[in-house]
Amino acid sequence: MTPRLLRIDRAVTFLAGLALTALGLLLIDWQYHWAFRDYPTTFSTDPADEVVTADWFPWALAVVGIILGLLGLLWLLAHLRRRGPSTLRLSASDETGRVQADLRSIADAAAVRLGNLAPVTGVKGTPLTVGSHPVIVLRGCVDPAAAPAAITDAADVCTQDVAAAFPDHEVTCRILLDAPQRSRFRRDTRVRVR
Amino acid sequence: MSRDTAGRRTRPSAPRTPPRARPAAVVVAPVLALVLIAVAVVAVRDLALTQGWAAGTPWAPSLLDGLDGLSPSAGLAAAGTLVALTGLVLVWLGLKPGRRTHLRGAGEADLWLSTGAVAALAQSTADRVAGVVSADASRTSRRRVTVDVVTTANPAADTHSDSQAVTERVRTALDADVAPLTGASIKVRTTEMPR
Repeated sequence: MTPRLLRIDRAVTFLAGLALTALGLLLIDWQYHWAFRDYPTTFSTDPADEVVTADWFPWALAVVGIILGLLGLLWLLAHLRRRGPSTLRLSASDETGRVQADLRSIADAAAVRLGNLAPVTGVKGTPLTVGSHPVIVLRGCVDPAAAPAAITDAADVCTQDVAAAFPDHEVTCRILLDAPQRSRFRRDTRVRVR
Repeated sequence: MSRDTAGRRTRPSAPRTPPRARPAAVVVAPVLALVLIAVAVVAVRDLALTQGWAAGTPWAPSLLDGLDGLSPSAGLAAAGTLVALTGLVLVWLGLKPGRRTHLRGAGEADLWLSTGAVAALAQSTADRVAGVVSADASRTSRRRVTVDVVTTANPAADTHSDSQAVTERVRTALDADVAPLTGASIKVRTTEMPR
């Protein structure tokens, strides 16, 4: 999911919430007259009847409905798309040719490198966009027995590797480390000898 | 790696945006998208029925007929309360950003560790300290980790100072190795176990 899609999700949720809140408050105020008093005693749809019974109305409703439906479908499908770019056009490209980096392969290679260097497990590399900047995100779980210094050293090496591959800072490397995954049924078999 | 004006190697500027979980609105958005698709289905169905392409009653005029003559009542106010509360929840979900999931790691690399990872490292570090029988770490908040350490009580010796010394060693080890990694606050609690 892209940051833009997240902004759209939040904005539409917020607006839908505002609309529902306004409708709900209007229904409550219609009964109790806390804010306004000039409400009709009954709700009449007479002005709308003429429009709804017109020949053109079903067509107009269908056109508006299809547009809204297509927007909804596109919005829904956008949630299924991958978040980051798979390739990146490099600044070495010119009129004689295009130079592209396959970010997925680079992310996979960087993940293997981090897994070899650092006491971390299950490292996966994914190219993502962070703040409109392509970033290779390496995510794994720390080995609890690790020395913290080994983690920072390995992170430095991986960052330097990616920086060396992209000297113009077109792509950077981010490392996210989570807690080791515990199996529900795992038993601690350690015995402490005194 | 590029070089600065003095010819030294410089690191790329890491994006400082902290990693976040997806905002809660991501869960609501597909539901709203399905509502839009449902509107399209109803609109096309009504068109098909009014044009005689299919048999049935259009829903849009029926909906208007149902709303006609509606008058205020306690039931409608209760329904309005539910609608307003749902709306307020959606407003809150729309405003709420995704929570921060990781703490910034030390060094120049764009390294981030979850509080759980810091707790695991803290537990392991405390467990390796001499005099510790067992250690268990848990996260108390996003930036706080509590390490529960079990030591043995020696009836022959001054148990209090013995336990204090172990606690101090654990605290020193954590301050030296784990705390500087993210700047998370690590609290040590000691329990004595009779020998």
